[in-house]
Amino acid sequence: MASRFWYLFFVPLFALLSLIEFYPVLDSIYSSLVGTGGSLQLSNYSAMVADAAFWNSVNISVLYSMTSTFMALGLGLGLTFVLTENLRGRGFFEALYVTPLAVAPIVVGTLWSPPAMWDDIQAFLHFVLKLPYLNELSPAFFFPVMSYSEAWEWAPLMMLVALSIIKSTPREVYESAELYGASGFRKFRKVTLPIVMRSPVMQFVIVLRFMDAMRAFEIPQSWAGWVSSTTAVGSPVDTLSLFLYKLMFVPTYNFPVGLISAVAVSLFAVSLIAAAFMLGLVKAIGGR
Amino acid sequence: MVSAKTWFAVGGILAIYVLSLTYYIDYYDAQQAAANSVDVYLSIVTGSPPGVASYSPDKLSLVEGVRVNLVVSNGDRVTHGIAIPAFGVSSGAIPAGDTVRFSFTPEMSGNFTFDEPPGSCAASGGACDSRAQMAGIVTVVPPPR
Repeated sequence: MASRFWYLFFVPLFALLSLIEFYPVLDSIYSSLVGTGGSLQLSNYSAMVADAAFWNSVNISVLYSMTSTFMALGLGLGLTFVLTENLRGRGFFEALYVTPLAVAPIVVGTLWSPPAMWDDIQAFLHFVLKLPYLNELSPAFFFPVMSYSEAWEWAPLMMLVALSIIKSTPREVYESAELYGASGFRKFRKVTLPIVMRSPVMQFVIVLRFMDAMRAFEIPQSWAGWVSSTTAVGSPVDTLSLFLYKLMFVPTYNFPVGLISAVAVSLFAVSLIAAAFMLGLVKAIGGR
Repeated sequence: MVSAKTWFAVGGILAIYVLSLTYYIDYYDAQQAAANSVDVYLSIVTGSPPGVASYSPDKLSLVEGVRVNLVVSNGDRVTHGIAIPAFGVSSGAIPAGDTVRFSFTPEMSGNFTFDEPPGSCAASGGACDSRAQMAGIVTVVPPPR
């Protein structure tokens, strides 16, 4: 009796998903296809494609995602290397390294932006070390710093995943490396790194982080007021989310709902395409 | 050994990254140039008889290294033109009543002349020659420290 109506068990789930997931996405797609006359047309997409600020945002999103993901991976693996060494107080360091994950992204953005941290650092560099001031408004400064702050927040996630992969590796693998006289770094390079990078879990986490960074908003927004204006689109820190936000909340653009929906659908599509591409690349690098 | 597929993948990522970075730098430089540019308006005012015109103003003051968007409007009844030989820029022919816009960046300080290139002045009724009156001086000052 129960097996005949098994599909009814999925109804509440699909009802909830329809409300919170399918309906907003489908409504966005519908809004993006509605033109000024109310008819279905592609005018919003053609306006979006013709806008240089949109392509600038796509480019910045891709660049920012790649930079912060690879920095996070590098930093995370570095932290993993430190924690795989048998040091005293390993538990304390593990807890300390995980702390950035607990900080809200907007706080990370504000902490790493000019007024919070850099004023003190510049004062120290200039008055104590007698070095010239760093130009905080140059892209050669703010772009790496922005990417690094995102990497700083999410490196502990990479570290935790790598540590869990290492813990599930048989101890004999490391013991045999030690028998051959491998140093700590050589063990890391020849044993730990390939095991971690070939793991599908790690590959999935890298792609997930990449997709998340494509939607980055808080950290670029913290810098937006400093390097450009908080209301002008096409600024050098405009990721797609920030571009959408400005179009939506700055009154001068007159709330172009159709264009905003088109950009939102593009963000969805760009994230999916970039993630699929990234997954293929990461799998090829991992060797599986 | 690292496989060829891995190298190809790494190369692919690097290529995408470099292309992205190049586009970012180009866009940023173009934005900075546009933001730091100044608009300068120049008119060609008609004289009497037609064809005898002059530039107004006939003295321009620019800053070295700052991009200039020169907007020239031809208020005369014949075609004219403007050129700054020292910077190698020319507007081309400006038909009567039209406005043209071109940009350049003065890369050296000093006083330079601007005038009408030969052949720019064209009238339907016959030849016109207003080159004697159509001249001016551009003063380029060094950028402030």
